[in-house]
Amino acid sequence: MKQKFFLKILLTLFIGVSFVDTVFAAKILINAPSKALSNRQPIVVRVLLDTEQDTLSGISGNFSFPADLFSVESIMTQGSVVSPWVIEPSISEEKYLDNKTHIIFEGIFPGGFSGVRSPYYEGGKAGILFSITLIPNNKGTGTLGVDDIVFNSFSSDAKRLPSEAIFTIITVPQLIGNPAVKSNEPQRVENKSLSLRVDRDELINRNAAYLTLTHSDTFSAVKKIFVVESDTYNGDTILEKEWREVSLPYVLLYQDRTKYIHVKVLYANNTYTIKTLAPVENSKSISGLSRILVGVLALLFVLFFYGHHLLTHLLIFFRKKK
Amino acid sequence: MDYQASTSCKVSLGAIVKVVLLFVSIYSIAISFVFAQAQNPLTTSITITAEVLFGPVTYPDAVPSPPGPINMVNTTDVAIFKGFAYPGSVVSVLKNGIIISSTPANVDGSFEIGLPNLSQGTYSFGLVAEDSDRLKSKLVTVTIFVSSGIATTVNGIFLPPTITSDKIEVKKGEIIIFSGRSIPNAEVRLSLAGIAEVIKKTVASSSGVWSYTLNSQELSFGEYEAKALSLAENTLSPYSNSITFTVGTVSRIRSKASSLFGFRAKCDLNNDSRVNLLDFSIMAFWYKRLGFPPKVDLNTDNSINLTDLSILAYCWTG
Repeated sequence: MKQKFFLKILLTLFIGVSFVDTVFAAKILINAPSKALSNRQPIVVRVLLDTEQDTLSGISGNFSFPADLFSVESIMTQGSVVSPWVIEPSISEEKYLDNKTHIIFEGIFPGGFSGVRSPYYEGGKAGILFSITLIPNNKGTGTLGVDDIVFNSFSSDAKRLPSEAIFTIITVPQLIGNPAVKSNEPQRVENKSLSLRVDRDELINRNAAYLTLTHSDTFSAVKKIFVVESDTYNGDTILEKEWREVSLPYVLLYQDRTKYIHVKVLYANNTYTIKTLAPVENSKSISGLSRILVGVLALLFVLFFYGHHLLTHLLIFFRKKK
Repeated sequence: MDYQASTSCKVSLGAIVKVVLLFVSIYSIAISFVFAQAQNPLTTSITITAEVLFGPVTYPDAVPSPPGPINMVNTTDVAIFKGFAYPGSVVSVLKNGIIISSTPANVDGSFEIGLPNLSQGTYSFGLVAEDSDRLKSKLVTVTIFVSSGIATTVNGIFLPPTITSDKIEVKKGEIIIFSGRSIPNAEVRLSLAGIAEVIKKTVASSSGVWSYTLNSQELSFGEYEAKALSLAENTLSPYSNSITFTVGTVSRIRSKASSLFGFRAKCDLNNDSRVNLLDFSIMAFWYKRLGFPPKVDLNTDNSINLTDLSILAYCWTG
């Protein structure tokens, strides 16, 4: 009896150790309080990625929370280990029947990600993907979760790695006081880390000029992007109705680059910034005009300095002909 | 008597089973730990240290500072990267996938790059070297947490060697020359993988040049993948980028038009010898759209999705 028990323990140990690799699998962590405060104070939920010795090249997932318990105040990507995002963490516009708000996200890790290192510990630790500030609205208990998780390995075939959905329970007590009334008007901010760029490539609409934007430092997820191509140089004077919501890369309407390109980026923390790209001086129409102008100036220059000699030579030429 | 004999036999069999299982378990544990260590060789060489900044810190500028008053902003929140590349190479640092600083490596292949003006937070930095033949090393990434008022030093970065070959296809029996750049005087291990893997050894010169002449008679017909790593001061570098070559019936010279070879060349969508945000933007344009050019579909699954973008992340050069 004792022998069998000992054998069982050894066999379990052997099997466990033999498949030790499957134990180390990347996982998503949710860092959130288990209970919200009754004074309607916003809670910050952080979604982290622990690679557990794996190296990843891509990630996607779907974070959800009960729509009746909380509303989103902001989604921050500051300090995120993901860059660039393919889909910035944003509220999904798809219709779900589970009475939950869904925030989808998708991004890549150029050169791979295997954990955050620091002078204060050995090896790699979990890195932040994004954080969400939620405002409690009603009493109740619900789950915060991330599912539909995809981890891609850092390899030439970006093989899909095993993943598991993660859930955590959160309780909102009986709330006191009235909900804070906040302005829905987004606030204008200056974002020096934002840069615009226009490129051309054969693979996009047969060498069409297209617009991209990059943030050298991220602080908030991008909610929406609007573009206007106009003759107006000041982006602040553009009327609200003129802005067109676009997705990037955006193929320019005026391929000759004769217009000012104004870009309004609306962030998930209810702020926005406007950036403008000036027309290109060597665009076709401008270059045509400038060629005529240069030609006229050159002619005047020749006539001014050599007009007398030219006239004399022409007269001699015609006299000889006669 | 018989009973006693059979009893003693049973006991000894049980003991043998126990001992065998115990040995197997210990062996499995040892193998697992060795395997875990071998999977991530970089962790053994890279060390990260912190230094509290009381005054102006001295770190090498990629671009010399203009004369004038000292920029006090530059004295805090810095990350410093130290390691080895190859003499005559240019080492670039990427922040979140974009090149933000470049510096030439010293004569001994060592380099040191400092980055100022970093606010506290987590950053993914990549380091890549381009040798004098414009061959790029494999990107080495490190994600670190930069604290405010602390100089975070990432030490022991050992960039993998560069690799190329004179032929893309070699006629069986003829020679093929593999070459590249490495840390000066380092041992270079060349891996040639076909059906089986063959390892060849050579030593880099004092200027970091390495080469290995292989008689293709040693290999059977077929396609091979070649990659190299350096060994210096008991530290192994990660493997270089892979190049492919074929042992066949004719010899064909490798084109020097692009510094990207093999699989990475496939990721270079706009043919600028780099895999960066421009290629990402092209792929993002076709993301989950129909009618995409076949070149964009890296895994040829007839859709542009996260897998294609992840493959692009694998090829990234900045």
